[in-house]
Amino acid sequence: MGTQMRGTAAPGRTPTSLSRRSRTKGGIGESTLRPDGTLKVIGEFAYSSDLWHEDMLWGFTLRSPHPHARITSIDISKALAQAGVHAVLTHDDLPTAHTQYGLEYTDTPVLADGVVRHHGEPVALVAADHPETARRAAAKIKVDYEPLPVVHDEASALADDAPILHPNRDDHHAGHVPHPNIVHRQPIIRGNAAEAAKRADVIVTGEYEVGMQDQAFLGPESGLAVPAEDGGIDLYIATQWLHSDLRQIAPVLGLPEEKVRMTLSGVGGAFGGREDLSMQIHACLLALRTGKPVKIVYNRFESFFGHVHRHPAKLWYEHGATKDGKITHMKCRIVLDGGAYASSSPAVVGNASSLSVGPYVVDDVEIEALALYTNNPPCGAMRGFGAVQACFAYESQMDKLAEKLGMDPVEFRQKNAMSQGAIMPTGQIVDSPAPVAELLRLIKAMPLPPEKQWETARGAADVRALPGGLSNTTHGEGVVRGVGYAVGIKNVGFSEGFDDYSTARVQLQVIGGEPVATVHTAMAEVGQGGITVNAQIARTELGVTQVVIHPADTQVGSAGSTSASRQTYMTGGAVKNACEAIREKVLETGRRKFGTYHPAWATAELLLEDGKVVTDSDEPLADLVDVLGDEVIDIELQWRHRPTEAFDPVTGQGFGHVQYSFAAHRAVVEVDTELGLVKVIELACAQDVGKALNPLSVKGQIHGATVQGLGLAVMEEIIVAKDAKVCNPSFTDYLIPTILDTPAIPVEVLELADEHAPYGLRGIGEAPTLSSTPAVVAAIRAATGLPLVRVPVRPEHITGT
Amino acid sequence: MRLTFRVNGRQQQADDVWEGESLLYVLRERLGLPGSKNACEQGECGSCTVRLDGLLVCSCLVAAGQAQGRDVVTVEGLASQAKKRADGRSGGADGRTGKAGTDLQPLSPIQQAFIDAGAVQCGFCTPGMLVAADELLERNASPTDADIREALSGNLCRCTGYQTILAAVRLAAARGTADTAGTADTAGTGG
Amino acid sequence: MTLPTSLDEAVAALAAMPAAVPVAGGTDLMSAVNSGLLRPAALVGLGRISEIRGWQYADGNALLGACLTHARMGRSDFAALIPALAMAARAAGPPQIRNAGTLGGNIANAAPTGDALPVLAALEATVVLAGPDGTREIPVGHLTAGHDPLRPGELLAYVRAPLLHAPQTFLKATTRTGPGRATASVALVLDPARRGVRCAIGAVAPMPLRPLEAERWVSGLIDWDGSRALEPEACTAFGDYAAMSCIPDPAEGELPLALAHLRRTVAALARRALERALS
Repeated sequence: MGTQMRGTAAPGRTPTSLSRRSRTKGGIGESTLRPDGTLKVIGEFAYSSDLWHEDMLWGFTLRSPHPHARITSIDISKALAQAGVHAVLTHDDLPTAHTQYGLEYTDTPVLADGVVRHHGEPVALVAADHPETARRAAAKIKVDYEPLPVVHDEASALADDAPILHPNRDDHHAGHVPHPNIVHRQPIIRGNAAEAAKRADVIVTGEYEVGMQDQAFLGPESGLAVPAEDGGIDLYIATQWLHSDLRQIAPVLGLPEEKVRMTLSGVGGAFGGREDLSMQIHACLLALRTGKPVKIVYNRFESFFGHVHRHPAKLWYEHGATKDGKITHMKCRIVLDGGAYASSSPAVVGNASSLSVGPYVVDDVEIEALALYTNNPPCGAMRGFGAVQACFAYESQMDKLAEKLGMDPVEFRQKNAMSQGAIMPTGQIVDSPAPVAELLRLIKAMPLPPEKQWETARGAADVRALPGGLSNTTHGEGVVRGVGYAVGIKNVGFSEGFDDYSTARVQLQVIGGEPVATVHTAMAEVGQGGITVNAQIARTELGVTQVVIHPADTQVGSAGSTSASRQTYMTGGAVKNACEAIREKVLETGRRKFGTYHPAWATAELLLEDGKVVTDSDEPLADLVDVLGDEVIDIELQWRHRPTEAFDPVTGQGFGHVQYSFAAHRAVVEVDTELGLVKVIELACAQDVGKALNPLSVKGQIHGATVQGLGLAVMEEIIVAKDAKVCNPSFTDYLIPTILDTPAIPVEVLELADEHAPYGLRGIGEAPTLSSTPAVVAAIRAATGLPLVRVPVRPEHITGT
Repeated sequence: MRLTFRVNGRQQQADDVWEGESLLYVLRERLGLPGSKNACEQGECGSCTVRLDGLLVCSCLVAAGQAQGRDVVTVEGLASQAKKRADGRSGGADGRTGKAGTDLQPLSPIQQAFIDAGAVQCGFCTPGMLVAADELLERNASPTDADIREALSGNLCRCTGYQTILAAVRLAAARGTADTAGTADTAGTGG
Repeated sequence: MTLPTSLDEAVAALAAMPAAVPVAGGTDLMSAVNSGLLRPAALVGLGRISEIRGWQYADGNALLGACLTHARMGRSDFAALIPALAMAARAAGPPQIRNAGTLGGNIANAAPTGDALPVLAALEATVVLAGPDGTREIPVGHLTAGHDPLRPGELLAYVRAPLLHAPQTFLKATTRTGPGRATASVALVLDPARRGVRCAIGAVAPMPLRPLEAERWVSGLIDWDGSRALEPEACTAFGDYAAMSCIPDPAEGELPLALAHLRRTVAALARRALERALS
């Protein structure tokens, strides 16, 4: 860098944390509006499914109708012969010996290699001049399958004669698992649960089940691959993590990474469902084979097969407590169904295990979490991964314990709530605010919605406010109200020793007489508003109003994934870090040019604000325009959060997580007890967000996460039959909440800074997904008196005897 | 078959349309109007919502041939449609903006309200949601929350939990009422 | 696509192209096309035949055009005429679907979950079919059950439904508050002239089911010249009776849990339907 001191005294300090609020308009803390908002409301924002290229072909994927079968032959001749078809590819056509990919383990075939392991696995690809032609041609591919026995649950996966789905495993967990059909297993032992149980006055056990939830992002998987003259490929794609895709795509194509140039196109939501590859490699293969641009767009049916889902789980819990309401110990066993391929199952196991106690102080625990390989659809990342499943179980246990002790469920939770300084079951000390009791107090203090809120002024019932809505099911008959509470804990960022970093490139220059910052990252904007926040950070740090957000692509270093609540922390941190380096450079230039005119250049703490260099007492020293002149300051830097470490494979001890995030919900439901229909009337949330960089976006995340939790509570489940076939791959049969199913969601936000994080912020996107589900179920229990141990709660669970 | 119809006030033509082709496909792939989205193609999500002779429909469920000779409005035409409505209210005068073209319309009130209220996240549901919300406000200038919920019940959103969408419709309604009443600023913050 | 402007033209077009499929709202047809289940060689669009988009009165009946949309039937003027059909129309889906989907489409598609079907069954409505050799009229159920299918060139033109001038109800159970397919539905109409309660259960079987014995039983309990009110226990018994007749006990063994839930659902819906009609 060669800092020039020019013989002056020590240079003025550059503050690394802003001790006061920036005056620059549009900085952090303001609800600035989305830079892509206008394009999105006029319909001109280009999503990956909107892309078009001269001479473009359409790709289509033929998928397996069997969950487990040997492929004995494939005949593509009839498909190839169809007019308009340009290429048909199977596993035999793959260009290199590298024919598998995967997020954590490289275990997923690009196209089925002699065996299919789940319903819907890709078998062959077609490129044609019209999507309908491609679809009809795919139907003409003749595949002979020889069905194999199906592994569909723990018993069948671990049976003596169980088929081993992935023989010859060489992943890093293979050596620690008790059975090759276990993807990963993470025990945690702390204290002595058996001994502590002796102190318990009450013991409560429970078996819980969580169904398979789908991300159901609205924009289906899609992208456009354009072959380039240099033999490489340009891929325009909707994803959560460009560089992770790149790492998996390039070797399959046999291309060096620099010849696979990826650009993020418009992403129609993600929620974890785009962390794994879907059609990326397929489109590239077809484009390279045909020499023409190829677009693939999944329809909804295919989308249900085209991405991983939330792990269904079975959870066994035991808690003890003393008469005065202190939890003595906890034992649990969590079995997650990972489906046919590993995806992010290992991370999901790590979360389920390490967060299985919830936000409570329990010193004596015995925990085991594992994920299975089965022939069910592959499961992986979805908002709150691993923590969602555990939260439903431990919060159900909390209500059960409180009831058994005759205590108020909120007071019982508060009595056992963790706070800063608490020790996790992994031995990690929670070293930033953990206001669990306070969050519970906040939601409990909110006013309750009025009784019989469906009654209109004239006394008639507005069916739209009742369970069943316009189906006219009830006018109040059989309707009972219930209230329930829950709170949860989620880790932020990538854990367990993963080298988690993000990269930002920031340029500062004068354009048209104004200082302009350009921020370039590979961060996937999937709707969360990361680009809004990145621009706010640049304004705050550099004191400019004009910030250009460069499209995300692989011409800049990795930003890591838009998942695990990590992007504001990580890419926001990277942008802040790069801006600080830019500021350092600006001040260096300023000192060089103007240092002799004012002593403050050498002595004061200098800031960039309102397009000027100012002292900490607001005295302007120079205009940025004059400091910069023709110079372009251009810096690209990686930025890391503090390191974490892997959990011990036997005891589960270790500093595994970067940061924790907490949210609590109060649900008010009205249940038509005769028909088993539930309408959630209000779902209040309180969350500690550390620092709200953009309050409007923060609330947007909390609302969205809350409603996804509501969906899991009462309607969302991919039904997989015993033969491992998917039964409901459509929005007609897989229901997600409509606006009529969604209640008012009042939100209370706490801002207690985490001193380890940029601006003290906390990753926020996932925590509200956790507690929403058990709060709703607790409210249904309160209304019906039923135990309800499974989500989603279906009408027959409520009307059943 | 050949298809001729009006889209957003302009005569359009598409050739070689096959019988089962949807209006959505024609708009997106043949006419270069990808604003209407394809998210389920079963009429469950509403992201392809357009107006067909004024009626709200899912364009994925309209056989393209049914649109022959008819009038379609998509999200791309909302701004001009809103302007036409406003001009109609103010007596048909068209000299206010002084712009001849229709391409550079300011946003329609509902579009602006969606931006201001933070109703856009990933934005995939937004075009259909806007067309439906605009239709609601056209026939009901001050809808109750229940009215808004009923009107938008065919439009799925996975990001926002619908809270800011409700706020946006309320905001647009409040601004519209304020406009009609000629009062200064009763719109508030839309919260 | 052929776009006839009269019934005669439509019939001629269908007769000329035996493979052609008539399309009204398109909500069912296009959904099948989009999912690859149907590849129509030709379509006959019915959207311009204005004579079947409204209704007229004929001898105490309403003659309803097959292309009446759910949205149109959901409006208050229609609700004053045939309230149960209006309620079913409001429950038929979100605005986009109600604007496009039609009464005739509901019948022609004959999906078990078609919301208008139990109402038509309770009304004992008939369909008027227009064909190359003139028109004929058959009960709705004969067509939907396939006993008497459409003949070549024949088109569903009208539905004839009685005007009963008495309370009617329609309720359906779904699995969410927003629009959704029925898991069970109940239509119930009072026919004071014939001193009868008529009820049909939808979505639990391929066709709407009529619990005839339960209807007769409850019709006999009602004081048709008086208040028509019944004791709550009678309404409950009617619900149970109706549910039991639609979902009887198996010859041996227990009723599977899913069916037991369905029976409870039907019982609650039928009870509520009767209570509302008599209140």
